[in-house]
Amino acid sequence: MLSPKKMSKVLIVGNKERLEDTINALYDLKIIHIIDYNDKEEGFERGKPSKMSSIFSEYVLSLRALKDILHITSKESKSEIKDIEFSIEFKKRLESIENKVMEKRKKIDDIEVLLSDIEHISDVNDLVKMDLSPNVKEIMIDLVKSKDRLMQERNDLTEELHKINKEYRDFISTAEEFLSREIEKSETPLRLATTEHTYILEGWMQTDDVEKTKKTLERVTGGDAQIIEIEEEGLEDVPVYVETPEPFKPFETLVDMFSTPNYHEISPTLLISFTFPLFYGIMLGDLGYGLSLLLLVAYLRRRMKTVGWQSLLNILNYASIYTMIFGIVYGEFFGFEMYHDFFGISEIGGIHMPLVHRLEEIVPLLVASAAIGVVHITIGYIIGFINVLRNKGLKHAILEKVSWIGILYCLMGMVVFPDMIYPLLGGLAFFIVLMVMGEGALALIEIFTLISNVISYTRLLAIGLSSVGIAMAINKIVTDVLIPKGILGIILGVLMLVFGHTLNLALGIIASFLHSIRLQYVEFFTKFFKGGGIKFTPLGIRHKEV
Amino acid sequence: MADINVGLIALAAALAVGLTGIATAIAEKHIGSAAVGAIAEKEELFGKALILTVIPETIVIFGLAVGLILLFVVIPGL
Repeated sequence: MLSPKKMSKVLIVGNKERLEDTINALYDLKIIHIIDYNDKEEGFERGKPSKMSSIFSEYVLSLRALKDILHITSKESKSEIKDIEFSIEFKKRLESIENKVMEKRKKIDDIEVLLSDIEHISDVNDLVKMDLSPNVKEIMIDLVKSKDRLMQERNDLTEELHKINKEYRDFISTAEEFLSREIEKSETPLRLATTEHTYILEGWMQTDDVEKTKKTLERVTGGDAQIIEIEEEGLEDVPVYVETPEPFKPFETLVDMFSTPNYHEISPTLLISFTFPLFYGIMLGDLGYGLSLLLLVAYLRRRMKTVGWQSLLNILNYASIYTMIFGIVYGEFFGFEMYHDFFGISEIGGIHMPLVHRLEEIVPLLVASAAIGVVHITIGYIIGFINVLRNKGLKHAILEKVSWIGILYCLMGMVVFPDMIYPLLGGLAFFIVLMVMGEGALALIEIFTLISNVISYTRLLAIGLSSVGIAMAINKIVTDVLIPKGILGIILGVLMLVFGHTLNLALGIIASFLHSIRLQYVEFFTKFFKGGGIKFTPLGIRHKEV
Repeated sequence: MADINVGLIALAAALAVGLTGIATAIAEKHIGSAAVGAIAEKEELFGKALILTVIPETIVIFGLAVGLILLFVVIPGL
């Protein structure tokens, strides 16, 4: 779940006449990442698209035009994509829809031109006064008078388009989706090397899938297509596929925004799917704001259907839950101290409530947030240690990563135990020597970065404080100044509460998100993550819009 | 109690936050204008640009940390 799946490079070789069957089979399997043939070797040339390709493209063009005019979004298609008969019937059906739609569209356009002309003539009386030949005058007046009729006609036509939309949108979406797939299949030969009678397909697949593919190809092509696994040294451009459990998939977006992990390293997706919302919750930490965010996300989820929005909203969903948990810990509800202000209690079962009061325990929290930083950075170095251990061996792993952990703890030790400064200085010197041996003398500058990394985690407190500060200021103005002023004050107070907290919530949502992601990218990822990998995109899985 | 030192330390805390705030603003101004230029050419960069823009916010957070330490650790210790 943490490391990329093992990949094998394969060659599939076969007779050109069976190419279509092979591609169809591979397309359905969705397991091969094709390496595009770059047309450079002698004796081979790029394959040609199959004959149906141009016909399909024509259909798709008219289908997309229809979708555009009828305002059909892909999401509206519900029926399963199945084989569509490409008979004369399909063609006739498509043409008849097209004619109907185009005819109505044209009429609407004409009416709109007329209407906009009429707009210019503001008043019939102006026309009467104007010096025009009686004929023209009559026509013009007729035209202006027909304005209402024209508008009615336009609305009727639009209504009819709506009906067509309802009737055919399933057919149109399904056919478009299906044809796009067919086009992709028919264009796949462009990515292969071919000779006069044979083709060679080069690609990557998971090592576990090779056997399955072998069997399928044998069944489909009757033993004609051969699949050969190639052993290769120095795996440079291996596509990366990391199996992330479904609930944590959205966090892949956050990692990919930084860089795709490469084939030789541990993917941080699982880790940040825990730490990102945790940091978010620590910063925003307010039961009321968490609830509002949860509701906002639930609302936007129905509205924003693109893949990018959906994963962002899923991430925020996790974040809102952590925000509520920390809201309970801090005892904050829209900036009010809820246990005392609302229920008049200061302890539950002998435990002082709230567990942590952010404004009164600033110094302990400052230390705690730096401590969280030390732990987080250490985790980063441990992952880095495993990465280096796997690729370069123990010696490098110790020199490059353990040395840094040592430096970090010696520095922190000096702050916490000033009495032990001399032994710790000795330890620091030892680890610095190790580190210089591992990474070179230039890396000495990085020691200061390490210190600033740790201080940087104090933002966990700082961002929260500014948010609580604003919320409390709003509440204080309302409760102490406005409400005692009578009815008008109460009305103003409610307005102030709604407006102020909306603004503060918006700021809080954005700031917590940005600072939490920054802690991952700048403080955490730099300790182990190199990235620069290629995403595993098997044939048959279409690129989704983000 | 009303020692002049307390006042000076409070002033120092204010300077720490205020000046680092100005520094952050200057840094973000440059990044921000470059980011808007980049987004104008390539809209997908919005997410990355937003994150890059808040990177210098660390400076003011350092200032705030120093300010908090001055107010809540140094002054009570006098």
